[in-house]
Amino acid sequence: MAGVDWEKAYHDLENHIEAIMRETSELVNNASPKLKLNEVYITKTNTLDVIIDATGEKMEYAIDLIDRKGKMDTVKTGYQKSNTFSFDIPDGRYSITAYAKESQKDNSRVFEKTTVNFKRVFKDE
Amino acid sequence: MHKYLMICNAYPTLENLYANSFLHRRVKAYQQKGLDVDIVVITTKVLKDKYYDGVHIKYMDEYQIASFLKENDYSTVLFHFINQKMFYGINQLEEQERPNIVVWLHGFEAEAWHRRYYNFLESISQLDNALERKDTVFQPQKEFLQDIMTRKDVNIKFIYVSRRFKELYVDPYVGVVPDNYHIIHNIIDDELFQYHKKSADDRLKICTIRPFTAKNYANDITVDVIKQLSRKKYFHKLEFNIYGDGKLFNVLTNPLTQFDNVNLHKGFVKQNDIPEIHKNHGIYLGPSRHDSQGVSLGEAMSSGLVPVTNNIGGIPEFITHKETGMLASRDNVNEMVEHIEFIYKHARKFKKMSENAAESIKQQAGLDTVISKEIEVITNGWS
Repeated sequence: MAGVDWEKAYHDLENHIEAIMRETSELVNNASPKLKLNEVYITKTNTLDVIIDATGEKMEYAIDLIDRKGKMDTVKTGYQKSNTFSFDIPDGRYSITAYAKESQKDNSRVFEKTTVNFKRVFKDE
Repeated sequence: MHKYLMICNAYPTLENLYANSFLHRRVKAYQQKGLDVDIVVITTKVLKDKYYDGVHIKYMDEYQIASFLKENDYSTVLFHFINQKMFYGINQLEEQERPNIVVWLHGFEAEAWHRRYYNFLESISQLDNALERKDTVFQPQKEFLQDIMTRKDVNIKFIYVSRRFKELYVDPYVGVVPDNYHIIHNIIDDELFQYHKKSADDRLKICTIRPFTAKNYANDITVDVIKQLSRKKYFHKLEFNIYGDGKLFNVLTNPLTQFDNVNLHKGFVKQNDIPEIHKNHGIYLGPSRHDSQGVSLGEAMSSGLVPVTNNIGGIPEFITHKETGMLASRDNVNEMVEHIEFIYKHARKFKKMSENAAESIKQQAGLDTVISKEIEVITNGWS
């Protein structure tokens, strides 16, 4: 059985790889970031403030806020362009589901669930 | 009388005239030489037999092929674009019942997946998808090729469409070289692409006929070459005609709409219409990033056009620089511009190259040459 001319093949492939790398670089540089929910920041003042930190292309954000004791109706904000939410709500224990999606992609959505024990903090306190 | 069976992944029909039309060209030529060839297209769909231009085409899955091979006595089975499923029927036969086998290796079925990187660099998800297929699709295909290239219980010959395709793409991918192989090029149909003597003025008429579906066709280079040529004093003396279709056509050719001497012809060009286009041009601008042979370049050469292309893959096996065409290094726009300028400045040399190109490709891959070699491999030399 005749053998493979590895040296010849290697030099051709090396030449080819340079072109592949150049195009991969173009792809990576022009690629949109992959949808990812990085962090949900919650701040308690006299309101409950939620900031959703996510990466992706043309993002929209939403929150579902559920009163664990069921005294208050569930708040569903619907998707909006701003990633910052402020809720003027009574003290209590709440479940928060934070959503992020790419507005131009139908099936893309990431979310994170968390609970918070909210007690209003006034500035003069 | 010996009977032959061709098993392939697609064959032309009235509904789809251009599916592997080069296989039909072969079958017709075999028939003319007295070979009785049946066709089976492997498919999981249930399809009725079809007849196309005097050829009977059957559609079967791998299990039907296995039964068909048991019931019929074929002396030799010919495979094009082979994969494991196509070969299943052969494995189901007892060793002494197995027919002789000829396997043609054309391109994607026998190359490393990353060689066709341009097919999955449009988006990250396309790249991820290819990486997933690496283990599930490409690796099994490689192991299958290794198996059939080394096993001793089948009488098998391999045909590579060019030596460089074998040595640069297939050998290092598969890692083994079969004992019994032949280099036989794809047919360049010199009956269809007849040579027409070129005049000096024909060197000013430059055409390209390429799919605009993927980056390997390097139409972006064609556009860059024309843009660079537009800065030359003689540019207005040149005429360009760009033929082709695909999702990249408008995007790529848009910068050329500003030039009066560049004509864009968007649409699929039928095989039978190409000779007329060839007749009206002197240079075939056909850059490439990946080719096992470069059939469209060969067809242009057969018609007497001087090809300007790249020194990659199988191409230099068919084109000798400054004798039968002009070769630039990979992706090198400047060199291509220089080559066209050379032709522009050397009319006599252009005419000589045109004659040489037609003569050389006919000898190398003309219909008679290829069919004679293939019939020799199919019918003779079996142990």
